[in-house]
Amino acid sequence: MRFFLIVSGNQQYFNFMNEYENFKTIDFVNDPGFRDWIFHRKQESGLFWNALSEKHPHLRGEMEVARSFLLNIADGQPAVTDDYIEQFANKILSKHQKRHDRQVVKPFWQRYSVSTFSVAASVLLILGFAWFYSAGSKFAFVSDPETSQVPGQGELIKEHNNSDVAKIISLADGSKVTLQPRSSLTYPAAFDKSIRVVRLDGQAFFDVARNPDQPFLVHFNKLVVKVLGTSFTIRSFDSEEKVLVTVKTGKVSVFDNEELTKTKEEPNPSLNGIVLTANQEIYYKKDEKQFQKSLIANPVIVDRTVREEDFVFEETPLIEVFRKFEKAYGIPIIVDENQVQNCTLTASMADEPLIEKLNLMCKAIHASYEMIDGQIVMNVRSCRK
Amino acid sequence: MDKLIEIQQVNITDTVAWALFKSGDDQSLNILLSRYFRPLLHYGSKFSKDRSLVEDVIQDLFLDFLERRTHLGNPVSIKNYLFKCLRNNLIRAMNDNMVNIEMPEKEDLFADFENIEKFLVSLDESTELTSKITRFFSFLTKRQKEVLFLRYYENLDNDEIAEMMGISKQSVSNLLLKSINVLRENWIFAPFLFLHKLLLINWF
Repeated sequence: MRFFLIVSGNQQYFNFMNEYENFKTIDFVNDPGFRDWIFHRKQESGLFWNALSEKHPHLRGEMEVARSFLLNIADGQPAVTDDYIEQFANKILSKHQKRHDRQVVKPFWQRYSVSTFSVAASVLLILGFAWFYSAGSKFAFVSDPETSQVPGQGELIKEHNNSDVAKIISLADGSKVTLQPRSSLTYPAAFDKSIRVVRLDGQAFFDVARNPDQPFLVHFNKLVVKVLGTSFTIRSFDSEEKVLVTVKTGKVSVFDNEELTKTKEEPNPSLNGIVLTANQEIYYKKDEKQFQKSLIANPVIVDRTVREEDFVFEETPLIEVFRKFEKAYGIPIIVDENQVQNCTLTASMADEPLIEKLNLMCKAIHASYEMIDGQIVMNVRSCRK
Repeated sequence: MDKLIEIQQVNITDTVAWALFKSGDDQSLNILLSRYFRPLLHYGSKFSKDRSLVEDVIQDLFLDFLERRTHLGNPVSIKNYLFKCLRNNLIRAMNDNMVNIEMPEKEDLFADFENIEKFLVSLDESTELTSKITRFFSFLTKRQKEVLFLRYYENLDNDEIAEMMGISKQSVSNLLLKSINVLRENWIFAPFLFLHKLLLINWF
């Protein structure tokens, strides 16, 4: 790109400017760099064009007309915030959802003529009996005792995903559930005022709308996940020995179902559960009733304000470096603060995965780390100034 | 599936976002809109100043995409595809909407000539250069403004513009030439000289 030349600021740059000496309005309009400057007001290109008009004052009139011409072309640029766009997208999704909920299906006897109906009815009757007897025991009614855990207003809805693609369900509170194939979700048409409860069999990703006054509970297997507003995945198939909960953002508590019943008896019970934060997951072995907490294989940056470029350190106190990691990945880093008091780090880490960043850092400061219980424990030798 | 959601938004190309959208991922709708809501509104403003109408058309467009998401095609350029869909639907919506009915625009040379003549007559020596340009734009037809916008603001080439507007490449160059000729030969600086010239060209 031509703007690199500005940096060098040498003779070449001025020679280059001479190419513009005989430019007319139309040439400026046709110049992509000039247009880019007018439309997008990039500072680095401004340096060049301003310098050009300084050097060749006779171009100013031409540039001014070209500028005005281009601004007229760009007229009508909308002022829209990012929030507005997000709301717009959500509005579309919920409208789409509603349209499907409301789709009224005509009773089948109105859709077909009598003769088709009678043939179909006899076939259905036979098939129906055959199916009922073969699948009888597996047939789950919504009034199943398991689902009695789900309080709420209106009727219970049980959605089963029989297709081979994920299915997205929007709940009444604005939360969204991405239901994987061979999985089902039971939820009330309207939630209870004080609590939101659903039941999951199989695997789903939950994106829960934040509401601290109305906790969100997911029952699955013999466990319960309780959140206020986060996003996470639960994998709990009857056919599998292990249950997996992975947190994408926020905090999630996981309890044994029996523990939760305590809350009904005592006002402030101490629950025997486990708290997960972003980038952590737990395994629960059904037979051992043991929780095992760990970091997910590839932790991602969860703090949207942190960018990859922020992992460039120059003589930065080590403790600050650790805090930055904690903030970015939402993973607690345990370190003896006195030990690292005088340590600094100079390193540039951009888009490496977290594990690689940690390895790089440990090499630089002669440290080691362990991952225990979903946390990172740093062992740093003290530094002397 | 969850893996898909976790991919950082910035790394996703339009084509990938589109494929995700087709496969049932709702997050990709946010990605597409965060990239193209503003450009679509901007483009729409070249047809109708009624922003809520343009927004409604964009909304219906995406609702329609959701409805038949598994049957959607794979356009080469997602952006151009969205622009073209918006254009078609917006024009249809404006025709349906009784309030928005406008006199059909005359697109022939004569109309352009008439407009430019009116423009020149409206000027006098004291008019400032930049307001001359602004006034020139008020005499351009919607199609001319659209071509200028696609060519110079969105940096599309004549082939892409022709495809989007459903006209021939030649018509695109003609429309463009007519609109930018005002900048050539300093017509804008000496309008009365230009009027004379234009009369000669057209009459002989």
